[in-house]
Amino acid sequence: MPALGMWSTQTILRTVLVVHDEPQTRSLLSELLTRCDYEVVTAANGAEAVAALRETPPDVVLLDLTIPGMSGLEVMERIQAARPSTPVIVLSGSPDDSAALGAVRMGAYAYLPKPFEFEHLQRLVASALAARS
Amino acid sequence: MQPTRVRPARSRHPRHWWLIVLAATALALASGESPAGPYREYEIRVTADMPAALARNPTDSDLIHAIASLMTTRLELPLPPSVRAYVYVNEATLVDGLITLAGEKSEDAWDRGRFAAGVATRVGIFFRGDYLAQMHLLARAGLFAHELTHVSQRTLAKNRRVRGDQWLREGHADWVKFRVLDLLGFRRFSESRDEVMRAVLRSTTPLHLFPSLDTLASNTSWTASMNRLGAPATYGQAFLAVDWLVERHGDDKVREIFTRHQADGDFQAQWAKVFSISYREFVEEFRARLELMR
Repeated sequence: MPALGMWSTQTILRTVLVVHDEPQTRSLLSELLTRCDYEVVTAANGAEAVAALRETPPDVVLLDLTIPGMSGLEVMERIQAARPSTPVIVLSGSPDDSAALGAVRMGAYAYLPKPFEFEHLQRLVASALAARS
Repeated sequence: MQPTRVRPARSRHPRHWWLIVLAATALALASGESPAGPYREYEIRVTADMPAALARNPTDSDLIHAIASLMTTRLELPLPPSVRAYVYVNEATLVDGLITLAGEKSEDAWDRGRFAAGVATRVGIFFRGDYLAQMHLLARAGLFAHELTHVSQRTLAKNRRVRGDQWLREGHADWVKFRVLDLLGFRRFSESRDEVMRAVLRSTTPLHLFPSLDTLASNTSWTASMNRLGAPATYGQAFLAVDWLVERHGDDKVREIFTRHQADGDFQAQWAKVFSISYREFVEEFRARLELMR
């Protein structure tokens, strides 16, 4: 049986940036994604998200469109300008999906309506990472 | 010089030869056989030990067996224990086969058989031999895989059909086709996908005039769109939609939706149970992605 420690040093953690205004959702997503071996950075609004983009360039962004301050679509624009190859998964709880579709037209990887099962999100994050590589 | 008088040559056939032909035709009809039956017929026995490896120049029978083997063992697509493949010489005989063997109505048979190189039915798969003869190995393998996928879709659904899933069935059949070509070592899946994307982008029908997946949901509008707008707007688009669906949810979920046909006739209700995004949302999301390809 191989010594896990030897291999774990070579494991490259993928970073997921979670942009969501609800602390409980941020915390839950953070915990679940960490269990799936992702490194998680969280942001509560657009300004924090833009700062996080600079400080810890993520491999995937989970972006809620209804965040205070800078809108989700504006954040999407900033991500596209700064890191166009970073896949963005848009989370939307609005029955009107025009903003989510707008984000897809801007190049978002996928759109996931809320509520969703974590399994579906996990699958999307994995396929976004696979498509990127 | 005397002009040469040309006499009509005496026929080598007996005087009433046409009566013999007529009688033979009548006998064939009386015995229930079509005068234009398939000129080749294969039975594909689906067993666990089917060879997936191919000789250098495989026969159609070997090719179909290898594809059936790969589909069942590598792609988890079930097939019935025995599948029959019928090969016809031309359009008219294929249509005749669809009527006499598959029991299709004449009008439906002409609709399905008019431009098709292959047709999957509940009794087996029907091919145009004249087209097969002009196809290279890659195209023949692709055609067999596409039609066998339709047989598998029926198997998953326990022969139950629902309305409104035409683009899903065709897109899935092409998705499996490209996976099979990859597994056979003929062409990598990514190359096939790139080729489809190029065909879609170069299509004479501009992307914004492509019919929506909703429009391609029924058999009638699929056929009409195919005839009017061509393959990139129909087969190409449907493949890309299924490829995106697989990337988003996995091919197991795509198989699952066909199994749900067994119990529930409402396609969009089935969709909501399998995928994390509603049917309408997916159709709109895919459209937005498609238009980004410009």
